[in-house]
Amino acid sequence: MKKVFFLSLLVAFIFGCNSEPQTSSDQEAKKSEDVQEVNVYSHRHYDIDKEIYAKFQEETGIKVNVIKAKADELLEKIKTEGENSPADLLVTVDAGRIQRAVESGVLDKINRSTLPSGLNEQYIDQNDQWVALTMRARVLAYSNERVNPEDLSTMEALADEQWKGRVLARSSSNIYNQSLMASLIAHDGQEGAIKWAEGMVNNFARTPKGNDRDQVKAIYAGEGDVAIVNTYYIGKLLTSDNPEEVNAGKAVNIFFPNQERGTHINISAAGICKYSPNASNAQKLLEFLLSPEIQGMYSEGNHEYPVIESATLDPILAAWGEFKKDSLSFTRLGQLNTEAVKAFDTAGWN
Amino acid sequence: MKSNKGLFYSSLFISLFLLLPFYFLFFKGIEGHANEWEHISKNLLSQYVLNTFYILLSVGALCLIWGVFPAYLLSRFRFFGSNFFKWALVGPLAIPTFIMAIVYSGLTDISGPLASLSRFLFDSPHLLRIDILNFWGLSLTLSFALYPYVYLSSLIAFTNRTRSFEEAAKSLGAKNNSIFFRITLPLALPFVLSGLLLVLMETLNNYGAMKYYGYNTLTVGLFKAWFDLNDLTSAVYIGGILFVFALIMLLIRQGTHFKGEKENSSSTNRQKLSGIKNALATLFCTLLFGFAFIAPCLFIITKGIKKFGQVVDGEFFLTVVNTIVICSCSAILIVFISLYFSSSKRWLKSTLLRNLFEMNNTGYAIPGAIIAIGIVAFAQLATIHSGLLFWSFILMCFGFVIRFLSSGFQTIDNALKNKSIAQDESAMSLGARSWGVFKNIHLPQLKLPIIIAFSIVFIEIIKELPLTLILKPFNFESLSTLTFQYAKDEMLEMACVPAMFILIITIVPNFLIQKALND
Repeated sequence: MKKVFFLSLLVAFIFGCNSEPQTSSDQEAKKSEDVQEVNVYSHRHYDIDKEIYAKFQEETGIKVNVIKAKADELLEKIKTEGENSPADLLVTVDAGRIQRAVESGVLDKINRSTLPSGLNEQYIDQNDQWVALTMRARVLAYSNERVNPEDLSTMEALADEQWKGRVLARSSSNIYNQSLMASLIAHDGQEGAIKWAEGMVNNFARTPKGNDRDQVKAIYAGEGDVAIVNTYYIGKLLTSDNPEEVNAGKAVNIFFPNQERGTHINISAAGICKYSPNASNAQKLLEFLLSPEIQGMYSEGNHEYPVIESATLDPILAAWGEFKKDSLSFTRLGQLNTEAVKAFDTAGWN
Repeated sequence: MKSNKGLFYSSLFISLFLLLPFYFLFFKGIEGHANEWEHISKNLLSQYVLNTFYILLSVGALCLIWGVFPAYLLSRFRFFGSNFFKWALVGPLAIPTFIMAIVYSGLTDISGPLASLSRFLFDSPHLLRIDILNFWGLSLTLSFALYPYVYLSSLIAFTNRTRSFEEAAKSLGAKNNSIFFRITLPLALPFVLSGLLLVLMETLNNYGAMKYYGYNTLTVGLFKAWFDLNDLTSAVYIGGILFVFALIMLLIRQGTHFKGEKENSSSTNRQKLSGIKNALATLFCTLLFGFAFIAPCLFIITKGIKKFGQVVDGEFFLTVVNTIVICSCSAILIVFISLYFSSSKRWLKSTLLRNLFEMNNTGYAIPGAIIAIGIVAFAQLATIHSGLLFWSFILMCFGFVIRFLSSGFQTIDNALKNKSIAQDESAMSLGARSWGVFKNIHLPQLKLPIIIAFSIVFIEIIKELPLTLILKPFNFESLSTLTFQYAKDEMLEMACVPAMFILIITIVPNFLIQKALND
């Protein structure tokens, strides 16, 4: 019995190794034989990405190998691997982290000239070290029963007395909140931003916890009236196959705050790694990801805004209408990230 | 036993080798400058330390209740369902703490089953809902996931360690209550404490559940310093505090030694409970089992079956195979090293080695991500290509050994400690060499502890997350990373599919543990 057990383990092991198509003990040998591949370190773990990479492989014959983990961990891994790093492309879900990759010196230049046209200047690094793949807006979700949208105006105004006990947000350790805070520091100064955060802490309906969906559900449950959320989570609630989640999504409306200077937006971005062994394939993958067709897939599959103007927009996003976007540079958001974290700590936003 | 130089140096080498990633991380840390330390120590540190202390206290206390009490009941009495509960109560071991935490949140949130039931019964979703996302909710969910460690070790102690003492006390006229508190519990203490130690270490290094519940502990703070504030040096400082916490707990346990010998379970007959006592004992076990295992399992399985078709494909089965292979290989490696270490501890009586082994044991309290980055640094220096499948695989095993050696080592070392030295000496005096004594005398006697150690470590590894995330090769997923990725993307229902497979796979090691215990 025991022998059978160990034997089956052994078989499983051999099977496990062989069925991994890009088995790597011979990865380098393969490379010299010119087998085309590109290695992606990605913080994105949406199913739509898997489909998109499969499509790329189908069209170009270039195999996409992916390691998915948090951007922080991936960046640390790239830094530690140094010149031996197999990473070709680093993908983050936030502007702050791609800027940190720039500051760590792990990224190389992208060839801007071969990227598809129609890319807004804001979505590409001024030194060509990264390019945005998708955009998300950090908006307000409000109870359509208990909140009159005319009372909503700016992110700053949520710190006012009238919202006491009614505001919901997740923890400050969340990178989307950190980038939002960075934008407030850029616009209102460090002191103004801390004061805002203190006002928010005063107004919280409950201590920050859970994820973005949980904030919307808390509105649905009547625990609070207004929540700070990313647009695509609302889309996911509305398309959920749990009817109660759909109800939660329907219990709120979306408000784009700060329409004078523009609503705070964030990007999922990618950069080619400095020691990339397959840099030209990485460039090809970037060009592919920015093509209007793939941009449309991102939008419909994951409810994110495309960064290429000609791409089709997800119907849920389209229904929310046009809005003015904050034109603050994403580089600046990244530079202010540490200040933002500290501002949260000072204000006691856990 | 001066001829054992080889054993000494090899043990020394392995032990130091397993500490390597910590040196790398330590030097990587202290060569930098702690830019944000002032901010952390001024605004955050006291909260981190206090919160850590409170959560250790509450989870520890709850696990003692959930663990010691039923173990005592089940080892002493027969009542309705007692044979079933004896093995069933180990079940929650199969549910990763992080999954337990999100499942409980899913059970109790506004779109969850409790709210639906409440809507159905009372036309309002709120009457049956409890807000679980707070300190007590966190303590409770963590204790549900972790109490089996205390339960298992207590059960072993009560079943075959304390009985004859109790009978002696009884014959001298002591009452049941006073026997329990004055004889049974103190005698079983070292066992209970080694279970509790695992619980506390797990709590100490937990990140996912704490973050989700918005509760800031030292581990949460460590990641904040490292990633949010981009200050590895401060993170290493916080890691140092974590290390001190772990060492204190290890020392407390070191201070308690079991004084009796293992008994041959001569009087295994359990007293039969009747009437109200029978009902209460059954009720307690049912509630514990229901909350800690049935409720989360039902949630995972119903969602898992619903989303089965969306998640399961050829690649998914590869993930299942990968998971089983990596868990088995690492667990076997850990059992070997545990045997090696506990033997050299026994033969050599070297204080240096004993202390080094204790250091190796602290790996259990260190968050997996730290060990992983230490290993990447090590691999970089040794110019190992961590992107390659073979080497990633080796490095992952290396990481698991560092992280989980303690689970295997404690089980095997405790068992070996209880074997009489006299028996070794008489064998040696007849000319046997230490290897012969180990192979012919110890190994056969250690069969059960080895099976238990393997099974526990296997379950630990299948649940492991951060280390796997960082060290895994390209296109490699384990069931646990897959669960995490779905959950991270706020797709709880999809996350239940791989979680369900974790439950299914762990039936095997769970069964092995039960079988070993019954023997």
